[in-house]
Amino acid sequence: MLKEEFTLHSQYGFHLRPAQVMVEKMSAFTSKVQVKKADGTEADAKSLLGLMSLGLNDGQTVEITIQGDDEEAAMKEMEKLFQSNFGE
Amino acid sequence: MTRQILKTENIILNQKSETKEKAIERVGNMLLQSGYITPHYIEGMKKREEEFTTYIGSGIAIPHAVNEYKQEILETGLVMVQYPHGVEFGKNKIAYLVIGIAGKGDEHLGLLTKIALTVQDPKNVEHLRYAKTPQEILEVIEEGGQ
Repeated sequence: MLKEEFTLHSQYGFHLRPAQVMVEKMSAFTSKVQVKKADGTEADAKSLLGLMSLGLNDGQTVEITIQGDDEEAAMKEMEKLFQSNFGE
Repeated sequence: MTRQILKTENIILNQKSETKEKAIERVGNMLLQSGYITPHYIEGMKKREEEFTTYIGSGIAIPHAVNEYKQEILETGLVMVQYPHGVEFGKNKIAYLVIGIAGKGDEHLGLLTKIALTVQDPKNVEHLRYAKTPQEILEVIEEGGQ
């Protein structure tokens, strides 16, 4: 199991497009990927509605937990996503 | 109490099915008439849909413009159209509620969060699909979003 913290840098917040990008990228992996907010609410990174219901915003920190056979590759991809601000 | 982002008069019920292009124009025009956007914003909504669908699952689509059209938003606001027979946004993507969004800052995110929470329960989706009054819709979202 891998665990890492990321801070969201998106001038428009974590709106639909970044969430769609995350779902799309993470769905390519078999590992379970969870996104947890500072207040304890959690969502499946492969569920668009789940991610949207977190209501993430610019500057917030999330904890990503990945568990499964391809967890390392999935975490690498997640790092890339946050570094690129989800391609925006 | 903050300004109402989704006003009851901006919830249209029992609309006949139409193409997604028409549905996007419809919610776009509602945003325009409420003074939330300039006419250009509607182009941005069409562009967004061409690039990637705004269908979010559970019978809900949330048309809005690509980021380049943010400056065409005058004020944050949402509008909603209920289609009991649905609008096809793609294969197996039937929207019963089409929610037009003009989001300037982040004041609408709370409401979107509530909607996303609400529609994860299929019972709520059915309720929203066949609701008879705008008030009923707002109540389902208020309860489901807790």
